[in-house]
Amino acid sequence: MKYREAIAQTTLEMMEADPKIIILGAGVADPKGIFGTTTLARERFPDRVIETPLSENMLTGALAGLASNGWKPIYVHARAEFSLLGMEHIVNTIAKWPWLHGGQTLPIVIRMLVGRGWGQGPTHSQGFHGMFASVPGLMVRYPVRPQTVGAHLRHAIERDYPTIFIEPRRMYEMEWFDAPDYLNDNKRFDARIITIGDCVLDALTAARTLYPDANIWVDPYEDFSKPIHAVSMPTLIVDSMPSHFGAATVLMGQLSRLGHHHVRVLGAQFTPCPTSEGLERYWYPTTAQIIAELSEMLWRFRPSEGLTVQWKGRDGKKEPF
Amino acid sequence: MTFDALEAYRRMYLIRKVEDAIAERYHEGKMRLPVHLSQGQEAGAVALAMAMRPGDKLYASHRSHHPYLALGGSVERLIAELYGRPEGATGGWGGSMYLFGADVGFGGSFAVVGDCISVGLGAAWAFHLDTLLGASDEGRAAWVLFGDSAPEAGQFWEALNFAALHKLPVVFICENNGIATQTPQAQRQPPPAIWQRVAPWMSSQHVSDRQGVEAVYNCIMAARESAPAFVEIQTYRYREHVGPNASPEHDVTDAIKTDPLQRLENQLIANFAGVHKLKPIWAVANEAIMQAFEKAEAAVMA
Repeated sequence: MKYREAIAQTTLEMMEADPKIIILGAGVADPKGIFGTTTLARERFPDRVIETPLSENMLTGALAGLASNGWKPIYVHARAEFSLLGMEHIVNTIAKWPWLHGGQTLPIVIRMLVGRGWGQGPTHSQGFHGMFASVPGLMVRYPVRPQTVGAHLRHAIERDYPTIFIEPRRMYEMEWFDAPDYLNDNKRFDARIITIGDCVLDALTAARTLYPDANIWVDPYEDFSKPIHAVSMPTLIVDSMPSHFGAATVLMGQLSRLGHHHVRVLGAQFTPCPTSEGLERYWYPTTAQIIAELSEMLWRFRPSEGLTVQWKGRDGKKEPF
Repeated sequence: MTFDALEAYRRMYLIRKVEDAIAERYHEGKMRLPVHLSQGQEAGAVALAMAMRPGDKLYASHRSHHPYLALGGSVERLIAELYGRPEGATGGWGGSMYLFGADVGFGGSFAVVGDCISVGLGAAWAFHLDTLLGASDEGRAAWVLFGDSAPEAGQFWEALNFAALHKLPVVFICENNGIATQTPQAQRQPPPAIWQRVAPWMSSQHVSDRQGVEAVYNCIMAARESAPAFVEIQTYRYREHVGPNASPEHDVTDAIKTDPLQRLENQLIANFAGVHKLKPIWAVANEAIMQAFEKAEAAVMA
């Protein structure tokens, strides 16, 4: 099952089980249904998949009114940037709600997609996981694996707690994937890559490339309410977004506080994401950069700057996952 | 439904006295938070509260004492909140600008101007879905109370658009006191009046609380029938934007001469009630206020 199919399927199952769940957003009821994630729900429950005007500011506040009066809204943004119009209500209204309303919790899920590739450019490619996770009263989930996204969505809806649910568009057509068996067989790892977002794919490619010289544990960080646990091995934290004051840096701080210091952070460039394909490939953290950082951490050796080859997996596949 | 003038007077009197007591004691420094007092604006909130039906909910802005009390919110919990006590309306987390009372249909107050409009619209949407999807047919409505600067915020117009589109059971009530913090309306908005600008979207009316609380009540009752609807109430704020002092920003001497509470009191005494009917109202209100302060003060830790 593909990533987007898992979302569509889980949404449908949840709506069948709970008549109070409604889907809102611009494009949720159109024929494409947010890349097919809301079409199953719309066919089955046309009244409960509601197309909305582009009034994100007001509608985000309305989520609080809906949720405090018995409904369980899932608000979908086709790009995460659109949620910023509702940021004021996310921070001031929704996140504060239980403290100001006698402990009443709000069952709200705000889904948002992070674009990548095909010229998404400066304002269609950003993920704001670090920003949202820094606000008390919000849960942030950033599932990247097709096999876990359904469970994450299920928990987000069942938890009765406002959840920011971030989905990397790059994963949408991806089938179930995992680290290859040979990386997992003995569970004795030389290094760990904690990934945030779709850079998990680049991390897996790096891990395949380095095997068997090093056995790398690729550990996607998907639930931001979970504390990170320190494991005593060289650790590289990779974020698909800029790491400057970002989530990856925060995780490094958490590991550091646990006494674990052999940690590095790698993120995207601290500029807007460029539209041009030629520029964009230098913006995201690459497989080559991940390999370079790990080599330096493990062997105090950094491949030369000219290292821009297309990394192929040990088994020779260009796109291994 | 006939208008119960005595009941309106009871609520307006209580609000005025509570606010006066807060202003009087504010300098003691035991209420350590900003308070936005509402002397002069009672009539709108009371008329609105009396027009609400069981199950309806009200969402208000930062100036929240008068709607809270008009709905029957506990004086004790309000004063405890101002003293930062756990018995307060939000247990000390919110304070003056965040009052809410689930038991009296007060959905909450929101300290960022305009926010109550969006949340109130969400409540109206919820009631609409209750009816539409068969969960209930109580015909509940959501009410939103805000000042004259909220229509400067985008969410106001977004809410009008959505309410008109889905014919939501919502009544927007704008208390226009002519001034936002210290800035007169004319420096912030071009003509025409707010209610005239809303008129193309939905049923829109205006009324002045100087016409008396009954006139406001009748106007609001008509709006409830034609929801979604908008009502602009012309009113005056006697105190400064925040704090206990007289307003330095604008002259309200003339406005105080036409004070709706005083007018109603004179009418009641002259027409039918007589002072003997008002005396118990005064006694009950003043006793409740005294007790609320005593309790809050006794509970404050040294």
